[in-house]
Amino acid sequence: MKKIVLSIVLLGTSFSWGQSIEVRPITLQEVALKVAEGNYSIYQNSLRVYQAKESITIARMNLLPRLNLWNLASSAIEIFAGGPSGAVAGGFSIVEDIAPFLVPANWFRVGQNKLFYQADLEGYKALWSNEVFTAKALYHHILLDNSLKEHVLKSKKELEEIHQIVRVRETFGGSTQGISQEIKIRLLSLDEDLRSLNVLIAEEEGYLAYLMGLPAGTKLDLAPVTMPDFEELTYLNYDDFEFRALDVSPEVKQFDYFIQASSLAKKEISYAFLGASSVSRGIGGGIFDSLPTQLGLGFGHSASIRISRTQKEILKIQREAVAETVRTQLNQLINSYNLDVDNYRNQKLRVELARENLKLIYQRIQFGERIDSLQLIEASRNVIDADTSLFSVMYRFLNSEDKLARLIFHGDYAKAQDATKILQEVKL
Amino acid sequence: MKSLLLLLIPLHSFANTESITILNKISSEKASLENIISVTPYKIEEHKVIKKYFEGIKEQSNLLQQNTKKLRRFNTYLAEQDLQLICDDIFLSKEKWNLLLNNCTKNRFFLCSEEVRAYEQIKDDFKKVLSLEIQNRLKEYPSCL
Repeated sequence: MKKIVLSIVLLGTSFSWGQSIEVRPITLQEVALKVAEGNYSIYQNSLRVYQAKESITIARMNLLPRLNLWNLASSAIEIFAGGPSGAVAGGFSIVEDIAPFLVPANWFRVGQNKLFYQADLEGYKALWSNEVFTAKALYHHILLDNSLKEHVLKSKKELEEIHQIVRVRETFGGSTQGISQEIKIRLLSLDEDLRSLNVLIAEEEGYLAYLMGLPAGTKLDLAPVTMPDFEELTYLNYDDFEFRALDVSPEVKQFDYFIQASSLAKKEISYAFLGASSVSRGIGGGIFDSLPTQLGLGFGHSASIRISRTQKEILKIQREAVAETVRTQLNQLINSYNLDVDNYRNQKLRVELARENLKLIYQRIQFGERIDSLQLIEASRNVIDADTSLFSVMYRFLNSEDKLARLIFHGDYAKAQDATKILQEVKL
Repeated sequence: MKSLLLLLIPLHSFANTESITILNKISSEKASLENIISVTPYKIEEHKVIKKYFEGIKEQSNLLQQNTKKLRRFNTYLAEQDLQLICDDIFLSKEKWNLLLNNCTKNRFFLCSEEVRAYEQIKDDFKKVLSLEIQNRLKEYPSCL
């Protein structure tokens, strides 16, 4: 029995030894690169763009004659059996196969497909940047949490030393009974904070690895980032950034292409009496699929045109709403950034004062002075709170700068343009 | 013979007018840009003027590329002209472009339209549309490079 237990234990240990946790050193610069290469959503979207590109080829090729035997046969019957009117109807239905380039709707579909492809490219650019931004924000957050963890560990170590001193003094009657217990409670609370931080960091690292397309369970070793000189940071002005944010916004550009496509969709409906197009508009063109197309010159023709005109107006309103969202985001970002410029100096002073205060209390305890336990706990908590606030402000600066870069396509985000260029040349 | 000549003269003048219109459009947009180049910090209105010039060149390249007859007429017109004068008229000088780039940069962020940075490429694309003969002649003048 002993042997079995021993072999199970050994087997278990050998399994745990066999599981090698890959530690992957990574820098912030690599994150953008890895996300662009390995992110699942970006890859999926790139394939969607490829589909849109191929849809142009389909639409273009559908302008050439095609062989549709069943249609030919049914048209022939119509021509021979239907008399003069049958000959006209049958003749027209053959035209759609033999000379599809004579159907204006097919040309309008080619134009629409080209615009949807451009819109999809803009969509890809937006997604690419959003994923890179999320990954970089996560990277900053992990660094912030790691810094907090280090501070909690440091505080815990300091408090443990105090705990030892107080316990000795309690034993010899130099201190009020119960203080060491209060400190112990504070120590246990710090342990809980540490465990929570460990879980949080592990979750964040897991999600970051996922965003970069790395295998699950990869342990990341994040290189620190260079912090800007916070003392030198100045206020930002909203007006300076507004034009650029709107001009480069892929979300706004996407709607510009949809609006252009809606003009072609309207023309398609206007000329629908000369034949309808069977060419798909692709995934991006789904918004126009619900537009009613009247075949032939019926009484509903003008109403169909009016509906398509309204569709264009809807798109214009949506474009304006997106532009307004970009403006709001920029405004909030600039306000938050400027607020942090002011807050930084305050936070720094707060940290210095809190540390000074705690240091004084430690010194008084070491010299044997009677200190209220609540005062000690409060001072310790103040240091951690002040440190947390300062670190939060510092990392929020990094995030704000990165968000601004995302809005105006600066730095890493300027590479989105190259990514779309590569995509345009891809052939599967 | 006389009637044929009478027919050809308006055709020739139409071709010239069309080419002059293209150049005048770019030239007037360049003049507007040069007028506001020092009005810093740029507001939305100034940014629009800046973008219009660079987009204008891009647009004309595309239009010429799509219309071979128009391009042929444009090449013929350019062959008869002083290219240095035309380049001075339509292309922004390197000094002014550098000034613009500088004015467009604040707090290490580039705040103007992306076309400003891509000017060299836009200019090259415009020249590439033209005939080889014109392209070779353009190489002789520093303001056309």
